[in-house]
Amino acid sequence: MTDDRRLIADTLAGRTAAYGELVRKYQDRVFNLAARILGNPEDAADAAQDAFLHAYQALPNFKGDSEFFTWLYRIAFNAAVSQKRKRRPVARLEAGGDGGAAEPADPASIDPPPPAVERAEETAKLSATLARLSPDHRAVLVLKDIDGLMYEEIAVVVGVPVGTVRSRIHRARLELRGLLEADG
Amino acid sequence: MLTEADLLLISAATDGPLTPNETERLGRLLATSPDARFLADRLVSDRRQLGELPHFVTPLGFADGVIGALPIIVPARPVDRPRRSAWLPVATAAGVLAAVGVLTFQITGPRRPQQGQQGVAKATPPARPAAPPAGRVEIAPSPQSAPEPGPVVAIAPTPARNTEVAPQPRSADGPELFAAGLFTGIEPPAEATVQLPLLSPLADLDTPSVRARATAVWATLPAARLDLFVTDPAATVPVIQEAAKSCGWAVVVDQAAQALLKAKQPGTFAVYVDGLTAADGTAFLAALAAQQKGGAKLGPAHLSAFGVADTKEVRDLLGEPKRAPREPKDRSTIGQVVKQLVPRQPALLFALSPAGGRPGPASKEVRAFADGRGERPAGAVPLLLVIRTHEAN
Repeated sequence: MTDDRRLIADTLAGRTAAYGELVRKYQDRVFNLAARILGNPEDAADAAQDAFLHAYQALPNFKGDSEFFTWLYRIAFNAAVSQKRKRRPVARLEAGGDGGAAEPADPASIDPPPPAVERAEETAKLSATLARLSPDHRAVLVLKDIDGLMYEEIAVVVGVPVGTVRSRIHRARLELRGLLEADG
Repeated sequence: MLTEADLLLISAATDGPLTPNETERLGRLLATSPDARFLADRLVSDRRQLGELPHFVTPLGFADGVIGALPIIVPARPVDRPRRSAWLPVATAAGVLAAVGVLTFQITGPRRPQQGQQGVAKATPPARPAAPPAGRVEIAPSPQSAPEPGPVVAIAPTPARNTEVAPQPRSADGPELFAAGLFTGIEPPAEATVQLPLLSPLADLDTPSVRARATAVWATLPAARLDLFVTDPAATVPVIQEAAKSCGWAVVVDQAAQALLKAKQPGTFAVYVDGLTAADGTAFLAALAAQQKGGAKLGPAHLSAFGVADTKEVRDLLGEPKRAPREPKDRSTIGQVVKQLVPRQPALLFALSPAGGRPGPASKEVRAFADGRGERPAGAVPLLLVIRTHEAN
């Protein structure tokens, strides 16, 4: 029995502390996924919390067909996408307050994470450009290049066939390169 | 100028191996096109930089916030339900058809001769008087004033001239109602998983295959429930205590259960253990088997997973789960050795029924048991052993 499965069994037996261990184990990855999908860490905390709570309630349905992390990641991905959808109408209402046409929020204005390495400008630019990708492309690129998931795992998380994942990743790379070159 | 196909080929090459044909095409492209070489170089660089992006820092106290927001209910493992969605409409349609068939038969089918109709007519009491006019209260006559019923003369009915008999069964030449056509469009489920409980006589625990299966079943359980069917639960409790003792359990008996046992009252008893590995559990079953071979009267044992009711039972017994207190560590060598030599698994024996004998978290013995629990070892699960009669199913 793997460590995750033991913790799951303990959780199902009523030990909340066991679920706490699972949360601590995966909180960084789930939080980062949500932050990348949403484009900012402030909303990511809510999405990540939703994901963990939803996973807790759905834990009895976890059949073990995939790794717990993949299953959790799928929930987190959906929570982040759902959060992003919820946010969109608010932006439109605010923009439409003066009677003008709704303008999409400028993703470039989203604060990048504090740079911690050299070439901070390049890193910030890449983060901002990543946030401007279309949601489908951004998701697969984050899962592949930042989280290091395999095609099959990405397919489970995103809920599309492996072939679609491949082609999305290929197109996502080209879209990212195009945006980077357009920005100079 | 690179075509769409060229762009996708270069992008695909960034991620992994290509087919021999694609590799050959890529080689030609890179050899002839500086744009292709530049793009390939940039895509590889982008990929590397994405992998090196700094991580966001998870807010402090995030995990504690999640734990604090968890619902108080314990997520219970649901019972696997059969896939019935595809069959439910068919079953409903079959039921409707059956009902229509029965009704049609009753309405249009042959009628039975109404035996004794004349006699019944003679004995029928007079018709109820008409309802009183509105606003008028009618008082029922007292029993004394009720007219005495006259003697009832039973007159045998005259035999009917044309007695109808039931029709002959119809021939099965045509398609049968429920076997033809209705289910033909439904594909049988490709796969069905049925998890059977382990139901075995205790004596068979000596058999390696049964023992191995018990261990395997135990290892899959998030929390175990063992129903032990006996003729006299109260008389069986000492047998259980003996088996538990041989496994190194320290059994605490709740006061109410003690009183019931002393009075030899019938009831259902239970033993709760907080953390048993599959090997520990099977060893206990083997100890029970040994008791049985020694003359104890034990029936079959039924090992299954906790249900929702069991979770509630334990919650009611022990109260809200608390972080198990860590035992003070005895770092001395002798302390460690003694601890390894004398493992003590705390167990709580209590009465499940009658309801009045069921303890709660305030019980002195329950608190002693709860305080004595340590961290559950890896792979260990709780066990609720229920000692019950066959009739209590």
